[in-house]
Amino acid sequence: MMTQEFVDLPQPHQLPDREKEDGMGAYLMMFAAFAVGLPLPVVNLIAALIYYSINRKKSRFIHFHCLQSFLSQIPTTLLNWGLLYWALQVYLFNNYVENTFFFAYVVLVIVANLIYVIFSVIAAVKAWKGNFYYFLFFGPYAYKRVYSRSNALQYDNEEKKMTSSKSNNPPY
Amino acid sequence: MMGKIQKDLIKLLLFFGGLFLLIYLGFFLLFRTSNATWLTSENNAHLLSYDKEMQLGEIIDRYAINYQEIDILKNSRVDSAMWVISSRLKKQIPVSEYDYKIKIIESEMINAFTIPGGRIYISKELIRFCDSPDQLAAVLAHEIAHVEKRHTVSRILKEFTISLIFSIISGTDTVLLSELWKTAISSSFNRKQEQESDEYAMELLEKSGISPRAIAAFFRKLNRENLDYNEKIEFLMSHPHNNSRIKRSLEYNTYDDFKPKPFDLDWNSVKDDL
Repeated sequence: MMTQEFVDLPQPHQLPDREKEDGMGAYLMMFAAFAVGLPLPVVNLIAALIYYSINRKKSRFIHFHCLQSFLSQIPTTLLNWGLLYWALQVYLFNNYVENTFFFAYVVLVIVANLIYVIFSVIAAVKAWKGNFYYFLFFGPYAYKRVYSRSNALQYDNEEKKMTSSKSNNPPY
Repeated sequence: MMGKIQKDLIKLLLFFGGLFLLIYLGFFLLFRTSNATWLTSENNAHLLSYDKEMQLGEIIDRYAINYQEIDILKNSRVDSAMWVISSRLKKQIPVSEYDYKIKIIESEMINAFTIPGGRIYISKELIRFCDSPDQLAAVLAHEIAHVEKRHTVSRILKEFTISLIFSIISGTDTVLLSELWKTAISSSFNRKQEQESDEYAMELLEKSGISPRAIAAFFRKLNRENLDYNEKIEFLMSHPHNNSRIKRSLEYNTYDDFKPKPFDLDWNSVKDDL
């Protein structure tokens, strides 16, 4: 019943190497952006967004990995922003003081970043092999967005969908 | 499908929420059960014994007076007011290695500082600035906390090696002493130490029958008069932000049956004598 709503998933042997590499790139790209954006943890998000908008139309496989990579870094980025704000308030503006909550938050951010990096590497390797890897929440969500039959996006590697709308219209 | 996504979201939130609580609990227990100073500062004060600290304090004090780094104010009425305030606080210090010596110095700066060996200096201007003896007691309690927690010793030991300290105690090198004096009175306690001292001060004030809100009152006045006193305020610059200290002082939970006992002092006439 469920399969009716979704497009069949491609198997690794059906995917060209180029798609696999682009899928892997979606995860690896953020490492570079992460290093650049360390003082301001928003650069990775912008880079992921750019990568996503450039590559999403290439194929569903790439779209899925780009979307998953992009979405999964939002929470970590928010946590990093929170830490940056809190740390500035504590050490620069002196509005707050260090306390147990602050230290617990620092550790949480470190753990969250580690988890994110580890899972991204796993996902990158899987994508490189032409496999899917679903993150908790973001994986199923990205799958639903990309592989649903209701997804109207026109992919480069798929035949053009029949559309009833006319492409040429009079000016008024 | 939607059910799976929602379940995943709940799992994620539970995981990270639980993780945060666990880490918080871990830190909470760590801070409670041990003196986890390694996290914010290293406490090396144990390197200097209390006896040596007393000797060092005496040498620094003698140097400061002989070389006119400070002028001690002598006024019997002010001294006795200070005695009344300090003795009430001292009685409530549980176990102390220190024999406190509190001196008032001629200075136009709002300032209070400690040097090793339980020696506390309060500036004339600070006493003038305080609206009530309670506010002065709050400042004094804070300085006592620095002494009891050995913050000054720890700060000095960061700048000077222990062997250098011993050589200062046994010798008469005035250049070194002058450096030591500068280090001792500079206000660079770290935030953790200041916070620790504030907490200690609030408990001490409460035990002594003085409202811990006196701290808030003092800092509110400082905030109000900040513009006029900007250049005069020296010792507050590296201290935690005044507003957060006011907040913590106001949020401090006193015992249910806590009743402040006012000082039997004519504060205005004490100030007039300055």
